[in-house]
Amino acid sequence: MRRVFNGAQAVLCATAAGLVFLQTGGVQGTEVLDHPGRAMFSATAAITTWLAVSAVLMCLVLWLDRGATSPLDFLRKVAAPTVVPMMGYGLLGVLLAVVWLGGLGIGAVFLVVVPLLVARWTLSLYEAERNAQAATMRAFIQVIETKDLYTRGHSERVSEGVGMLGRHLDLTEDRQSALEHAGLLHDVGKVGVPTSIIRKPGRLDDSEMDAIRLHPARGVELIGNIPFLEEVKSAVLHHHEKYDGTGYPAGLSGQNIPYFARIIGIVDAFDCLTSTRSYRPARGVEETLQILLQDRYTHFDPDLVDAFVDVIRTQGWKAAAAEQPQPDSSVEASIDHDDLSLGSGGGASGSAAGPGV
Amino acid sequence: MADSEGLEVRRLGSGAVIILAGSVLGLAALAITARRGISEWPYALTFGLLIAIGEMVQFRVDRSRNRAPIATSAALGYAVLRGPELAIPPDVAQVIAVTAMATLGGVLPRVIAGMRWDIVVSCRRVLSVACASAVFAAVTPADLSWSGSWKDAWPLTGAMLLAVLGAATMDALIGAGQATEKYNQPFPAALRDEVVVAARIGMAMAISGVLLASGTSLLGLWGPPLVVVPLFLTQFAFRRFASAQRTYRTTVRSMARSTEIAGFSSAGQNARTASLAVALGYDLGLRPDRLEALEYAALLSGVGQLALADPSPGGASLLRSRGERQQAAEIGASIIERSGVLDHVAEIVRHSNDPYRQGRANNSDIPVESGIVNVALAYEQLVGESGGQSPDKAMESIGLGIGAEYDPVVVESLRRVIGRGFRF
Repeated sequence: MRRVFNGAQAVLCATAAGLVFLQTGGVQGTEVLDHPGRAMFSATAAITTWLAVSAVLMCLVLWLDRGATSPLDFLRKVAAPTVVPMMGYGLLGVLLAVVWLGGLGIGAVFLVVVPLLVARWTLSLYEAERNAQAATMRAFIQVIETKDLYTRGHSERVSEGVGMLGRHLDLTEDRQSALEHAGLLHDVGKVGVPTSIIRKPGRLDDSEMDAIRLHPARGVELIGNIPFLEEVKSAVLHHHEKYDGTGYPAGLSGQNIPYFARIIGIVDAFDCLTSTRSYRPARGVEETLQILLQDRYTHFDPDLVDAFVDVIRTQGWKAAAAEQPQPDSSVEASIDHDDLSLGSGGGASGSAAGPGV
Repeated sequence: MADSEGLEVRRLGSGAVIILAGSVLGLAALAITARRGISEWPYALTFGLLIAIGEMVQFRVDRSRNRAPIATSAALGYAVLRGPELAIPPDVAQVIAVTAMATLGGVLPRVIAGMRWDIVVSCRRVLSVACASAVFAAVTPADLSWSGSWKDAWPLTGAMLLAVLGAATMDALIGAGQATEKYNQPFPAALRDEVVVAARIGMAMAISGVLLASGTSLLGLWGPPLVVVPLFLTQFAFRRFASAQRTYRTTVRSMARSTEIAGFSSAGQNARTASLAVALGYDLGLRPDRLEALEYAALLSGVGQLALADPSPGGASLLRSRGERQQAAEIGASIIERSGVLDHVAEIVRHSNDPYRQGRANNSDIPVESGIVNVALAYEQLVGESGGQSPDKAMESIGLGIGAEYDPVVVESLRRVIGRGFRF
């Protein structure tokens, strides 16, 4: 079906382009070399027609197929970024014809194909490099998570969660991928926290808590040289700030907390509450959403919480895998630094969740 | 200190020769052109503008070469123009003069804006374009032009390809000479690397130049716009690739620093080890992709320790027992393997703590890079911040381990590298 459509589309586009070419007085054969100006004009008109007809047909098909996709959306997201390259390659086709007419014949194909192949090769290199980076960061995050059996997979899940929320918030492509990076890397600074503290089952004393509070700054120290968007670094630094200003490291409040940090704060808390800890079993998704809703204003940006609850209720959540160890019943109740549950919702006291509470 | 100064002067050495040759050639060509008068000035202006723009938007592809593909294509294209529209083909002196002036015109804004610029690389282009122009003028009869017949078109295209091939050869030779001098890479290995680069990126630039010339010869000034749009698109794709590559490299380096932040190694230890390992790799003539893997392996050789419980005192992994070190190497390798993209790096790390006699001496599957990382780590431990020994004393200690602990070939290379004045 797809192929038939593509074939039919190409025929229609070519017909329209050909008609325009003739209408605008396109010259043919070796005449092109004598009237380059006219030839160029009609060729450009023909290419433009081709692209326009193609875009209209695509819009039509998408509209018939899905109904929901608005033509404007398609034009903005697909047509606009590709129009310049398509024009460029169309012009390269004109050049192919000219060099062919110039006497080179089939040899002209070689001259044109090589730059095209290089462009393709470059794009594939770019893709490969980006994938390599993503894979390397993932592997590295997994290493840091070997320090604590209970947080295994946490960063990946947070990255996925902020990705879902980001798509809901309609971020641009750049910022969407930056947000996912920030979600993946938010706890990278834990590598600087001694393993004995991270694994300690009981209540943490003040100096141990201070060591943990350093992890956002350590994280920024680690990723500071990587040319990420500034938003990634500020999100890593401020993901433990709270909406009422009682978080760390800077005690920022409200809208002063960077946007990405507010997003990550929510998803981070959500994933912690829905995973098993040594002192308690995992909570259910709906129960956790209630906790988040209760803690909006004190902990989280209320609008973002609403958006997140929306996203999770419509799209669901893949909770932490069953590979986590069972909670250790011999461990006394305590909470770790990520566990933000407060008051009636959580049952643990909030004293360890941040300074000044 | 005196050693490193000597190294600096030597580094400038070939660069100075290239700059001198480029500027003498450019000035001479300019003088000749000024005396004879410029022919076909609209073409000179168009191509000059293209070269200048290409020079302005240049970028770095990999660690040392900064390239301006559009400027190179435009200059080569100008050198091989010949057609019905161009009554008098631009002669050799004019091609060189236009290229030199336009290059200067493109570099100046970068200098003023404080961006990266490298006059040596630009002079290299002037020289290679001069070579292309001379070859083209020598092999093309004066009456050969794009007449529309294949009898003229094929020899003309052949001459164009021969000319750009000449330019590529020239550039590869100069580049190999520079690499030999800068990194102490053996000349044949440097030439092999340059030829590989020329065959990939160089060929694309050359073919684009030929296409630009044919289009312009046939269509007059309508030609350049036809070629320039796809050229710019490729350039932007390449820039994106270059920036992705830079991001990836910094990511690996940052990740490597995690062992320092976790207290497993002293500050800068990974970077020092990697710089020595790369110097050894150059000395042994490794290919660029293997050099890159070697650098990553040296940087990441310590990550396995992250999975061990406590940092060792002072980050000195030599103080650990062999069993522990090999365990850390094994864990590190499996961590790196998990990324799925750095398999070769993982292989190097896995064997980086094997003693030579039990490892590489009997098993040729173990890469030489493992031996290099082993020696670089040992030298850094002895001479770097935590060790503080003199290079001579360290060489002596390492010399005691030749054949048993360390690969003799690598130790010999270390002796050469240190002898040339390598310092962390």
